[in-house]
Order: sequence, then C-alpha cells, then structure tokens
Amino acid sequence: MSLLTLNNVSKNFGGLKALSDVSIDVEEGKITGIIGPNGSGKTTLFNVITGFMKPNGGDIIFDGKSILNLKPHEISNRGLGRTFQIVKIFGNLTVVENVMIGALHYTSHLAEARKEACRVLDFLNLSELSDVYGDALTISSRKQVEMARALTLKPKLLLLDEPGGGMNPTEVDELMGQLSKIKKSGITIVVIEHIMKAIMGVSDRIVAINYGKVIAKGTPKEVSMNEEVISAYLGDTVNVL
Amino acid sequence: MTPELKTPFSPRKNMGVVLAIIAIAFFIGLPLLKNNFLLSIVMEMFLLAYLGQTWNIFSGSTGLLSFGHAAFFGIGAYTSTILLLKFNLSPWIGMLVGGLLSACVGMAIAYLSLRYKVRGVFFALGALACSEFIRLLTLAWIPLTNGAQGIMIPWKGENLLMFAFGVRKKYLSYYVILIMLALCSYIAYKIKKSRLGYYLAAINGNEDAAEMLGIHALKYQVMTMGISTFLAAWAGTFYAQYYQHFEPDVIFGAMRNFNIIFPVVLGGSGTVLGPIVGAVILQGFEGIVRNIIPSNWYGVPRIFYGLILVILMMYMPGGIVNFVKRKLRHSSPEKKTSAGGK
Amino acid sequence: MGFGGVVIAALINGVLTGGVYSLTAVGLTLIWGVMGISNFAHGSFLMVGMYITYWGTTLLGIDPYIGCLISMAVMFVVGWLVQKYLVERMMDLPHYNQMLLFLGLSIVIENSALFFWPDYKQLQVSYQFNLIPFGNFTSLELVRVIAFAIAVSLTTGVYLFLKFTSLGKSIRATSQNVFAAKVVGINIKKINCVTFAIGIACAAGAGAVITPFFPTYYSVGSLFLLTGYVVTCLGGMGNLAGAMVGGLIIGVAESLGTIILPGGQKQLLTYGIFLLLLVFKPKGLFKFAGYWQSH
Repeated sequence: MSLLTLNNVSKNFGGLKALSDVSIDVEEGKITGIIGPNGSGKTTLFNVITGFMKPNGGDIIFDGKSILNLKPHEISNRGLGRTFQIVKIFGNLTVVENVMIGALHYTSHLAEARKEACRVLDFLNLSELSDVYGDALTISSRKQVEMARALTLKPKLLLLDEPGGGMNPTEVDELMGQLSKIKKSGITIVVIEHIMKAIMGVSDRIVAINYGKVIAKGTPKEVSMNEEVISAYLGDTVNVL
Repeated sequence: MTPELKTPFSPRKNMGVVLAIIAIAFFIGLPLLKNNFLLSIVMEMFLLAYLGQTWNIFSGSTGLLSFGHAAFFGIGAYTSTILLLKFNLSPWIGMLVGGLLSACVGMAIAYLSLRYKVRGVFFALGALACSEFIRLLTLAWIPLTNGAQGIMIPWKGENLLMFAFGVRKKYLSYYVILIMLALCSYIAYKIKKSRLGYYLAAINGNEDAAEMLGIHALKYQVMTMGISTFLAAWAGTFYAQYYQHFEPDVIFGAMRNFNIIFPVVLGGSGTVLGPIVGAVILQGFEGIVRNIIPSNWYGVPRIFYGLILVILMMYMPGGIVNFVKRKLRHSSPEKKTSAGGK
Repeated sequence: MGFGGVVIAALINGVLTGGVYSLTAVGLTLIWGVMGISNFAHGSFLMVGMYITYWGTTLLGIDPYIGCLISMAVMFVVGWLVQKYLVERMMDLPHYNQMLLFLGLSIVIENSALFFWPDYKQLQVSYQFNLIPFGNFTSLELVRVIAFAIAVSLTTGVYLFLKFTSLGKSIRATSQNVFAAKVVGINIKKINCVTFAIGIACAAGAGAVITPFFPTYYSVGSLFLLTGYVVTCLGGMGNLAGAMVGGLIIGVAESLGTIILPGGQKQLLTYGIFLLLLVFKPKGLFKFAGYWQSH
C-alpha cells in the first residue's frame, strides 16, 4: 500500500530545474532511502512534499488524499513528520521542552506532554540530555532531539533529512538501530542519507536521484548495481555495499 | 519516569518568594503613608509596568517587536472617553469596548504583516505605520476627537461606577492600577506556562520547525496580539480617567512608543518580572535625572536612554532578568554536552 | 491656471520630491538587500547630513550643493566606522536586537541634535526663491529641480556602480548568497562596510539637497525614515530599481494627496498606502526588476 505517492513532480527555480518529473511510491511500513550526490534535489524534494515550496507540476498524494497546496502545519497535522538537513532545534528551550512541543499536539496539559516527551527520549536513549538547552547541544545531539521531537507528533510517515550528519560510525550504527525500532513501531520512514553503508543496510527500498531526476528505484542491491548510479558516484570514495 | 527538573525548595527560590512577599506587602500598604505625591509616582510606575507587560505578552513571547503599541493605548483612551462624553456610558464598560476595538485592530495588523516570510521588519514597520496613521487620523478627525487639543473629561464629582475617584481618594485609583498590573502579570505568567506559551516559544525558536509540528504560527501570533492589545486599551481608559485630559501627541507620540518598549527591554523581555523591574529602574532613573539635569537641556535624558539601549543590546540583549536567569542557570550543577555552536 | 494645471503642477512637484525619497530608499534597500538588517537610524543620518550642509553654508559660506558632496563624504566615513565597530558585532544577532540597537542609536543622535539646536532652522541661499517656468502655466522652484537632479544622478550612479564595477558585483553577489560569496573569496566584512557607508552617504545626500527648501530640525529624520521604508516596501525589499521607481510613485501620491485631503495631512496618505500595501501586495509592486534578491 502506497502511503506517499509523487506523480511527476517538478520544481523550477527560475531557469534551474531542481526536480523533473519525479515519481515515487513510498510503501507503508517500510523504510525508503533516498540517495544522490550533493545538489541533486533531495532536500528540495522534502521541501516540496512538506509544503515549504510549491511544485510547478505534478501531484503529491499522502494517505489517499492530495496534499498539493497545503501549508506545512496542515500537512504535519495529517500525520507527516520531518527533520531538517540544517537542523532546526529550538535553541531557547531545553531538550525535554523541545520534544514536548510535539506532544502538545495531543494534549494541552504540560505535565502530560512532559511525560510523553520523556517516554520518547527514553525510547531513543536521550534521557540524559533532558535539561540541556537546545543551543548547547552538538550537531549530532540536535539531530537526535529533532527526531525525538518529530516522533512525539505520532506521524504515520517520518521524513528524515540526513539524520546521521555529524555522527561518528558508532553513533551511525546506533541511529540505524533507532530507525529499525521506529519502523517496528509502525511508522513509515523516508530517509535521505549520504552514509552509504548505513542507508543501504537499513532501507527496504532505495530511490536514487541525480540532477533532479529519479535515476533508479529498487532494492538496495538492485540500485547499487545500476550503471547510472555508479557513474553518478564515480569519484566518490564510497563503498556502496 | 517522572521528570523532576529542580528541587522544589532550593534556598534561592525561598529567598525569591520572601522578597516577593515583602514587595507585595509594601505596595499594598503604601497608601497608609498618606503621601499622595509618592502614590502618584508609584502609580506612574505601575502604569508604565502595565503597558510594558501588555507589550511583553506579545513582543516578548514572539520576538516580534511592535513599535506601535501606543496606538492601542490610545484607542482605549479615546473609545471609553468618547463613549462617556457622548452616551454617558460608564468607563468600566467603555474599557471593555475599547479593548475589543483595540484587539480587532491589533489582530488585523498582526495578520496582515505576518502572512509572509519577511516578518520581523514588516511587522515592526506595520505596527509603527498603524500607530502613526491612527495618530494623524485622530488629529484630523476634529469633530470626533477634538484634534490636537485633546479631550478633557469634566469633573462631575466622585462616582465609583463611572470610574471617577478624584484627588482626595487617590488610593482608590492606586489600587485599581495595582490590581490591573497584578492581573496583567498573572495573565502573562499563565500564558507562559501554558500550551500557547510553549508554542510561541517554539515559533520564536524556529518557525519552520514549529510549522512542521502542526503549529499554525500565524494563528497563535494573531491570537496573542489580540490579548496584548485588548489589555493595552485598559491602560488608556485608566489614563484618561485618572489624568482627566489627554491629547494625541502625548498618547500616540513616538516617545510614548519608546517609553512602552524601553522598560521591558531593559528589564528583560519575555519574562514576567522584566517589565516590572524595568519600570522600577526607569522611574527611579527619571527621578534622579530630572533633578540633576537642567530642564532646558532638552533631550539629554533621552540621550542617556538611547545610550543605555545601545549598550544593552551589545552586552545584555536579553535585559536584566534574563541576564540574571542565565547566570543562575550556569551556576547550577548540570551536565552539559559541549557547545555545538550556532 | 485651471484645475488641470493644479494637478499637473502637483504631479511634477511630486516627481521632484519623489527623487529625494528614492535616494533615501535606495540607501535603505541596499543595506537591507546586502546585509539583511533594517537600519532604523537611517533618518537620523539623513538629519546629520542636513545639519552638516546647513552649518557648512551658514558658517563657512559653502554652497549647499558643494556641502552635499562634503556631507556625503563625511557620512560615508562615519557609516564605515559605525558598521565596523558597532554594527558588525550585531550581524548575527536576532532581528529585534538589531532594530533596537539602531533605534537607540537614532535616539542618541536625534536628541543630541535637539540639545544643541532645539529650534527649526531654515537654510537661506540667494537663489532660494528662483523659479523655472514650466510650459506656460506653472513654474517650478529651482532648488527642488536641482535637488531632484542630484538625487537622480546619485541613485543612477549607485545603480551603475553596482552593475559595472567589480566591487559592485561583489556587493551584488553578497546580497544573493553570503555563503557563496565567502567561498569565492569575497571579504564580507569589507563589503558590509562599503555597503553601509554607501547607504548612509545616500541618506546624507538626500538630507543635504533638501536643505534649501525644507527646514532643518532634529526630528526631520523620522519623517523620511517612515517614507523611506514605505518606498522600500513598495519597490520590494532589496530591489534597487524598485526603490528608485517607488520613490517617484510615493512622491506623486503624496503630492496629489495634498490636493484631495483636508488639512494637508499628506502623511496620512503615505501611511495609508503602506497599510494597503501590507494588505494587498506585501512583497512590493515589482518582481525583481533589478539585480536583487530579497532576503
């Protein structure tokens, strides 16, 4: 069952074609990974899906209904959560308060929201950081808190934009474990990542993008053997499998 | 897991509570000293703090500066007074009408200026333009507002129901403004510790992230502006009834706008104590300055205020209360990961 | 001179005044477009420019239009210094801190002027009341025409500077993408200083050219500040050409407004236009007619 469908989505910035005819099906309950060189349009794709940018063409269907001209808060109200490539933590709030913001969607009682926030922080092993202010965190911690925050919204679909940014290999492994845990709890995930070994290892399907176009779709193994994908990454000293 | 952030009975908190009780008792008992002059000065201070607090409710929690708050103060003053003089409507009711009118204008301005991304500057300018527009309108619409001469409320004797207390019973006016300040501060506190307050903090922290958490930023900002401007109008009615005379340039002038903002910024915007602390310091400072500087040295006191503002922005941008809070935050034992930088 | 003549005269005078508004707005929009800060002290700097010119003529007998050049040169340097030592450290702070800083600055400057010279001063020059006939039904004040000519030359000069010189191109690059500009090796701090200095010089120039026909007093700045911002918004924040055209539009609108509105409250019209802009076209009337991207 496709939870999120993109049909021929295009986005132009003046003369620059950031996205051309992108069509993707995201299967419910699975982890879909998006890979592509820098500047290939991955974050633009997320921005278009989540309503921060309007596409110039195509349609976006989430959970059976089009979300094409909706604003970000309306889209997230329908069950779509997101983290950002340049992490957007609330620096003026503590970690637990950051995560409470998501929980406040379901309750207006601060105490209840705090309880839920602590539960999610526990789930991701972040409880230690509860009282640290957002602006005092390292980038990788911020990314983790951002993810926790998105989870309290109880989304059906979670879009993660480079959650492994700034992490060392051990932390990346932990992150992949977290993604599996999240998937097991029933949340569909779409994740953009550069760390090939990690994303190929945890994803059920992969979509490869280059110059705003989809160049390959399939299982990690299939995509990694695709010639266009390999040539797009030629020059990157990355081990694909 | 039960979250327990701070131990409920830390010595610092105890001292704070004791100080607060002493201050409250002092202010409640002040009329017993039977010094009307002192009462006047403190009342001025309370009015300053009240107006600042209403400004703070919006600008402090959203981080969006409004340079036009005087407009709502003025709308309150003119609305209740015109209703009083033309229809003999009690200013207590006029206060509510003024508040509603004020809120409508305020919410309209907020909505119009905050719709698009260039928010901060647009809003500050929009509020200022609105304030100036209303001032000029007031000056021009002479049949309704008596133009530049302003309005004088004739003294018809003491009448509590008509918000007329008179000079002999100054302590009644004193308690009115004291209660107003307490109420307004309580509202500010309640907002801070509510979902609205948290949402506003989130929007202020990072609007995109807040939107992606289901928060319709515009809705909450406009709502808060409504509360802020509704309360600001009440100050206008109080001013009118207490001073019995007011004119456009005093009510709506640029200096009024500055006098509303400055104590809050000095004291600490975004905090409940900030406007009060700022008003106290400023009133004290006014007193000293007016005595030291010759009265024909026009503009000199304001040069000081301008300098203080500049230095404040460079070294203590959060104001005094936030500075103190930050110091307290750092000195309490907390495990912190290394700074991630901005 | 029939009503048609009155309207045309108002139109032309509006254009003449509009030129000065354009100059003011160009400074504002340049600073906003490149540095992303709103200079609420712009009006105060305009006022300082006026006073420099005024005293130049009154005490030293220098013609105000020469005084304009001196004024601009002095304020260019002042702008550079203010940027380097005061504004630079505020660049990364949230918007409202910057706005308050400039507000404080403008209060210091304006009230200093108030302290020294509490009264309204009007510059006197020999040719102050000369008129140039226009067509056969109205005449224009010479000083307004010169003011317009200088203002337009300056704004055009700035526009050409930005379009054709390499420093100008660096400034434009910075306005489009600070990060990329840094990567390409542009010295952002220097660009900020130059930009701010040019902006302030424009303000000073605008103040200088109006001294022969507009009173010089401490709060003249706030008048032009708000009008300047209305023009900037009209033209699109950061849009230089938009500011140039917008100034003329506002000048004409104000001028026509004095005919229609009672009591000559022409400012009411300007603020009314601004509020209407907010309602209907907050992004300005023009779509990037120039080389600028709004922040």
